Amino acid sequence: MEGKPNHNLTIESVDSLASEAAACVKCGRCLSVCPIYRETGREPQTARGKIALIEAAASGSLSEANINDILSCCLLCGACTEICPNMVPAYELIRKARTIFTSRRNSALAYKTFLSRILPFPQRLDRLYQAGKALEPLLLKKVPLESGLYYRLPRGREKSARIIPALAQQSFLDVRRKRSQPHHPGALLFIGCVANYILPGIAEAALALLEHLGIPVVIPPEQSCCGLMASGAGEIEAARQIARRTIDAFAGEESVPIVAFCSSCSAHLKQYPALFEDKSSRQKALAFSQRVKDLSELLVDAGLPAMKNFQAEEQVRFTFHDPCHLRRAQGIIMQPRELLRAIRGAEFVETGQENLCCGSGGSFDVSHYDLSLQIFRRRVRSIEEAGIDTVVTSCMGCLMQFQDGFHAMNKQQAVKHLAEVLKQALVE
Amino acid sequence: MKIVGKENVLTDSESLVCYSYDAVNRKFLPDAVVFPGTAQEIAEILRLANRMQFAVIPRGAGSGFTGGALAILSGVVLVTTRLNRIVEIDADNLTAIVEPGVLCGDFQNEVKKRGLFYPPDPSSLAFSSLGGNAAENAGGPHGLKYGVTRDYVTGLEVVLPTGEIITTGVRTMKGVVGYDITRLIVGSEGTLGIITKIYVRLIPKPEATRTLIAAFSSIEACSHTVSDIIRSGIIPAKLELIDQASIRCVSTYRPLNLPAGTEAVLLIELDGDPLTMKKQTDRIEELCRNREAFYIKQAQTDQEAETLWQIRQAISPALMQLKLTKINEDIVVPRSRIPDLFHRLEQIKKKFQLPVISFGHAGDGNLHVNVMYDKSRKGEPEKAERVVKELFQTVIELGGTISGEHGIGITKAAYLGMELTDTEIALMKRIKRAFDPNDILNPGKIFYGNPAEEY
Repeated sequence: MEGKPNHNLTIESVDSLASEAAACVKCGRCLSVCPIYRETGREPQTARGKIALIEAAASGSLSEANINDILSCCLLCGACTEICPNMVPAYELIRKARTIFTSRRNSALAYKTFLSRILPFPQRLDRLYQAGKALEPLLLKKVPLESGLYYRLPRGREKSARIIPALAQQSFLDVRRKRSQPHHPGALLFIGCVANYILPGIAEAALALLEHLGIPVVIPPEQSCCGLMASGAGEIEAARQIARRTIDAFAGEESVPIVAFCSSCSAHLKQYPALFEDKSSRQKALAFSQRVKDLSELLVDAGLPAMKNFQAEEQVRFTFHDPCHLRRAQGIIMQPRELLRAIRGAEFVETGQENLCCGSGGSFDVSHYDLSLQIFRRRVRSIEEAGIDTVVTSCMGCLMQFQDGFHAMNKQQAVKHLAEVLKQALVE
Repeated sequence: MKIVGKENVLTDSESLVCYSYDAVNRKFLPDAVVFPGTAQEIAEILRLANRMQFAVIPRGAGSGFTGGALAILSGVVLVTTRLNRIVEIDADNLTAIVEPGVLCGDFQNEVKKRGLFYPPDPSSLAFSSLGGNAAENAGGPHGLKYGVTRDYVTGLEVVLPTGEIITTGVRTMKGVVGYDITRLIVGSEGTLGIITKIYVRLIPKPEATRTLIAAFSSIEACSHTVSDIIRSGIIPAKLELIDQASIRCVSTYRPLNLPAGTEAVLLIELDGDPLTMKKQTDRIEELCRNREAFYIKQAQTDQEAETLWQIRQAISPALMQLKLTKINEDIVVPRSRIPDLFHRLEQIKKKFQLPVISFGHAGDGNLHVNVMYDKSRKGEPEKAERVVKELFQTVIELGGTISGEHGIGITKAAYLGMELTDTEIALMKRIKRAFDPNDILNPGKIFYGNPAEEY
């Protein structure tokens, strides 16, 4: 057996995971919803398999590298957790197990460096972004960058035909820094990496919608990444640093809601308290997370659908693809539909397969590209059967998965962010 | 493994851990896991196993309740998930051919699209495989009116433990040529052969369904009503009984809106043409009221019906909240003896002072009796075992059987002799030897007691 037991690891931490895992009776119900298992029929990919592995790891002598490989093959979509009859928090267990077992992972070193050394510091991220811009013609055309940013860069082994979105000429936050901001904000806007560096148009659209509602929006200039990628990869310290910075960047306006238009960001911002163990950090995180709203949530609360001023430019048939981080992590299902149904001249259709994951899953679409695309194909079948022209979603990971997937499969359908679609249909 | 290709064999300890359990939640580490893609590959693996003398343990989804998929004597776990094609659905002959890795629920949905119906409905149908269903002869609530897996399998393609591929049974509605090997293999728990194709018969989809719930102030009244309904000549599609302890468990996290004083509940589903169903529901309501049911409600919409059935599905997991270990038995008694069974269960509960919780397919006499005990308390595991033994004795005295749909595997093997005579067991062992002279396929199951060794 390769690898040795991890001595840095406190035995208590695996043991405590194993005792949480004990509620799993191995009934197998999670197999029925696991997007990966449905494609491959392999037990290690299920929550049940990973939980058995956590239990076995507590008692000793397994290979760290293999455990990491198995733990990495999960979308963290939460479908297993939702269906579990015993309410076993599989999603949390897998995330925590990644934290424990990742501490000695030496593969993807650059990736890890990026997560812990660069991502938490906006200036460094900016510098890297500048470097990336300079190298772009040479580098970025060949590197799989589909669903994230540089934290998806230096991994070497993936060579694929992913389409790579070009970087924006100037980052969104850079552009906004030069403008003055309102003194009495009605909302603080969280931008997130993808919108900041690649798709600033989506941030502009979200801003326009809020301003249309008469809400004065402030964009805190010191914000950076939400930290979801670091947390999902088990880089708990990096995730904590990023969270602390974000909390500081949004401090000072205690009663003002924080709005994120990427549903993966909003989900993770809401989960900040779970990152911390000490009481004071936890309470600070709680005060922050209670202010967080997903854009769709805020727009409906603020009465946007009732204003009845949306008109589609052309007759389209669209559906909403529920990001796992919106539907499952936040329980938000009706709000985006209410918004889309308010658009006159367009037809909103459900595919009947609303619980299917797109296969993006954080960095899963980079580490397991073929499998990710296979999971995507199942989702596409449901979309084709329903005769959809445009898929609307609200998570940047899903959005880029659809962009790349439609391209890879040579499909004519389009994908758009909810904010973009609403902004385009807005009648001033 | 040259037979199936490198990518279809797992040997690292970490992956093996993920094939060490099934829904019994006990762990036995196999030596390897293979994912064959054809019957020929399975045949080659079995021939190799005979030459090299290693055990082969067939596995579908690993959702069985008696340990059928556990590698109790090590060996190679052979997983059928790659054999997952629905080969054919023939709407003219009301038949279908499926491979064993097809999920029961997926198959039901496919035939439903063509106006057809495959009734066997184990509660694991969303994830259990048809191969596993056939090997264990799975049942479900529909058993009452429509029978179990066995009643729908007309033929099989099977790889024998010695590596030959045979086809059993017929693709017609009738057939009497030779011994009925199909029925022998269905329910043989993966000990006589590995199923590689299943020929099933289908029936037309019922026009409509209707669900009602009735609450009773005593378990006696409720269980007598079950007998009354059966005696009245009405065969509901499902007829499920839920006892007071189950209701209490479910209601801790799901509002049930049942009146106070509810001691037992019947959940009933009828199907067929709406006019007949109307008459039948009226008659059933009358029978319930005769036994002093104080609350009867019909679901008005599919959504309401679904909510009612969710109560039933929530029971088994809800029992986990008691934080006790559960021994889940699936005994059957003749339907007229259900009231006697409940009477005896009360006596057993009093005698041993352990919670015994019952619910299930009362309509066909099949009840899930759960003996709950605290593993950490001295003497309780032994006490629970005595409860199980006494339960089985009672069941056999009442003319019943110790397992209706889960099988024997390892969990009930120690009790086999309570129901079968030595002569009968010896005959079964001779059959096993005739199929599998080297004891390659799923060894140690059914006849050999409950193994203790785990890792």
